[in-house]
Amino acid sequence: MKKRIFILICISSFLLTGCWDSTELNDVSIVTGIAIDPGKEKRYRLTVGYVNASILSPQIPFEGAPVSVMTLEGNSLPEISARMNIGVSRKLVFSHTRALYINEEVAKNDGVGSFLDSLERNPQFRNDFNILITKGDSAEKFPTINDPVERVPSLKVQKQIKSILKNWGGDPRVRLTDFIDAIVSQGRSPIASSVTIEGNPEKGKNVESNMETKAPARILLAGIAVFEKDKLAGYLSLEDTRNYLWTQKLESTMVTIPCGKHGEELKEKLYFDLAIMNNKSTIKTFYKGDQPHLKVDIYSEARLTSMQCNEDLSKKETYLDLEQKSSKYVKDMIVATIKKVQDEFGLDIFGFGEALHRQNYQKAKEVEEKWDEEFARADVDVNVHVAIRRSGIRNKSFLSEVPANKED
Amino acid sequence: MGLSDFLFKRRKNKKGDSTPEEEIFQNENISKEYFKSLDKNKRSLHELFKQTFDFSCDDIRLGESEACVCYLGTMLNIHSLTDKVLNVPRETSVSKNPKNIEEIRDRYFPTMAFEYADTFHKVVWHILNGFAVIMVDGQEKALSLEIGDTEKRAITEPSTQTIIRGPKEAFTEDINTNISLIRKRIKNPYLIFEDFYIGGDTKTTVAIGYVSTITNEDILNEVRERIEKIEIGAVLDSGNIEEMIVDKSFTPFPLVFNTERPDSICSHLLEGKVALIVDGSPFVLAVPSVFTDFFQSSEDYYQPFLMPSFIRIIRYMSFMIALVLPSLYVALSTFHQELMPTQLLISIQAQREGVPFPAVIEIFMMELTFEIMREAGVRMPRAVGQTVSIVGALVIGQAAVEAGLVSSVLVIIVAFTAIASFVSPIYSFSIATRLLRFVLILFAAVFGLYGVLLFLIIMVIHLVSLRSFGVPYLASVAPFKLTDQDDVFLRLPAWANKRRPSYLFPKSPVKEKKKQKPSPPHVQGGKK
Repeated sequence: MKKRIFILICISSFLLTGCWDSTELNDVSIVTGIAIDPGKEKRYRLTVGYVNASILSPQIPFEGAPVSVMTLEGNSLPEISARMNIGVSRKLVFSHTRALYINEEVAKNDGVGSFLDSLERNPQFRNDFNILITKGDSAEKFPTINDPVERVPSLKVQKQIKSILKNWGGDPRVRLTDFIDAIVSQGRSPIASSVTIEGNPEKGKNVESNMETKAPARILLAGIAVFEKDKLAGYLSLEDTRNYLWTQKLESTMVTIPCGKHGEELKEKLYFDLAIMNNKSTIKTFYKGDQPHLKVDIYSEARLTSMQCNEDLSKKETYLDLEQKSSKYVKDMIVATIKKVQDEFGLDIFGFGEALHRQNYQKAKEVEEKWDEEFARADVDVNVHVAIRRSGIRNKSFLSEVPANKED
Repeated sequence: MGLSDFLFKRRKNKKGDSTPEEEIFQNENISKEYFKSLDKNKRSLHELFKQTFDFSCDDIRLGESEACVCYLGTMLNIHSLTDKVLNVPRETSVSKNPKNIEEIRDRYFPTMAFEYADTFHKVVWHILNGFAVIMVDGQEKALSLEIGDTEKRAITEPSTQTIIRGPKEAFTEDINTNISLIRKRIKNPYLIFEDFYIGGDTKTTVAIGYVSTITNEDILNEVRERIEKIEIGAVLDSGNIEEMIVDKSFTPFPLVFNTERPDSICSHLLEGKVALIVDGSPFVLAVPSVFTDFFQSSEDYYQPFLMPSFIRIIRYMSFMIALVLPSLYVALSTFHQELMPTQLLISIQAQREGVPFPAVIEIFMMELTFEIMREAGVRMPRAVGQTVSIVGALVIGQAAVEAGLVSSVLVIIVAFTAIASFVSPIYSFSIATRLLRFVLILFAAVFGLYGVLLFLIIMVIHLVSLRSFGVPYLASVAPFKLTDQDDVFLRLPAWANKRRPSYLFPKSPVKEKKKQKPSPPHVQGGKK
């Protein structure tokens, strides 16, 4: 009897419970990009870009839009996305969202907190999409800009961010949870990446723009958007973004450094280039009396990628000299960026406050409430050591072997 | 011994001193008595074999005595019979008339293999086994002469377990040939074969082989006992025996190892296993067998050890692929779209665009089609065999995709699964994955990845519960033994593999005691 009941339970668990949350792939639309604009009648205006998969099939290449967008107004994100099917045939799946475009108006006036909560709450959203603040154009245009290589626009943006991060470092590498952590944190201000459209977005919308070799519209990365709590405070340039990343975790980048001593005026402008390969940075915050000090130690390994200076690369001294020059140059760059953030925003986007929290908890507790002011008046000390490891597959530059003109 | 006592509950050995014939005919209506009178014996033989055309009873004279030669003409070579038995010169001189059957044999058939039959049962048994039985009037025993030389299949290359390097002989249907193939490889007086006669109607010879200095007594007794308990009508292949002696029938996994390779059986014997050879079957069984046996090919031991170790890992991988790949596809594409990389998801979605069936139906359809084709391919006469592959490749591979009935990624999955399922060197094991796959697809369709995992957990629980002749089926992995790992997932070189598997409790657990790692000769200053 017991056995029979057990079997009955097993069978009914199959027949009565299963399949309730299964969805066939042909019944869903994969959303790759979401754009949030201020609404005209209601609070938000949400645009979703979902993939038109059959266009992307290699077997049936036929002309058509790789993504389709749908725009709707409403007061909250879940509400709007639930109503999306008034115009979209399939169930929208948000798990593959690659880019979240937020109109700067929304970020400035409303703050992003209210809809970030719904994103964090929703199990569908992964923690790997990019939060992008749109500069200039309204956010809804961004998911529509076509690209001939990466046919799904939001995938293109994601890939482009990945690549720049790997090669140069123009994206702060902030994900949803990082952003939310930074909002909550007392010792760090949140940042996000910002994007702009270069060219004519109306033309970029058209799939036929893929026929042109020079895209009529392109989405460009435009540096960091700095937030005060969940409200947009301002922007930093791409250079500053790279410098910011240098203090955090930089994969690799490229710097061009003038040959002459700092401040020395040269007749010709000559430079050498370093490809930075390997980075270590530590942040320290401490107080000397009442004065906060911010200290950043940076150790970078570099590869020489171009050499216009007329110096002998077969000698050790040259390398030491170049290392010194570049250390100084990089240091000045980074100090300038930190100073700029201190002066312009007074917001600690670097996480010096968090460092203080780890290193001197008592003091951190004391200054917690007014940390941003403390940050703004703090002394900055950056130590950079650049170590040049290699000089490519050449040591002496051929430029140094060109016979010198007798007139000189 | 404590553990092995626990593993093998010993029962009393039922076997008495009775000879095979007595046992075989004890339930039948054949009288046992052998008479002195030739006529009586002839009459009862004729009674027994009266309707059989190939039975003959030829009267001859041996000296002064009346005699007759009885035999089944189809069970022996009739020319040898004529030469050696019927044509012997029969002297009629009275002086040296042989008195008893021993003298008769000595005089007339001195060079032939013989046996005496003192009961009528024995006579019948000998006739059935292809002997020529000479019954002499007035004697208490009959003389059975072995003629032999019947037709049998020659030793050929194995057809199901082919290897590239290694011996190419395979077992045949003849039990004596098979035993000789084993004996040729193990020249050891302790290699013992015991015979059993099983099958109420067929009286098939079944031999168990073991090396008495290695094999554990308890395992041996268990095998004997299980074989003696068999009471079935017919034994036509070792498969019949296998089903009667397994520890558990309700399992898709084979609990008895079978092979048609003598070298493979020999290595099992030398590990301490028992071989079961059934007359008429080219597949010899080895017990006890464990899960990992089915991932080992005898060629693993004939190639340098690195590659076989790699290939073993491939085999385990392909076992898992054959088992779970289709269900993973179902689970991921209908429940967990978020688990796939975006690009992959988009391209799968692009291919599924326009497919009218849900993923489960789609995959069931294709898997069933494949199973049907496989079955047809096996059963089809060789001459039309190619039709299956052509039709199959066209139907499955192209037409179905082009017609939009299935997506092309599914064809890849079904094809890959099918190929992966053939990787196991033992065919009966790959059958197991075929069956489980369908159940697993159902689980995946109903519960998604959760179902797949649930099923795998159930499967592992089931596997752990299995035993083969008392030995845990997952032995050396599930009761984990570090010393046994030298020949499980990897094959260590021969000099490093010194011990017999401990789960078999061999009488001599160590194969080689010496350190034998080869090294270059010590050379000093260019001289030895």
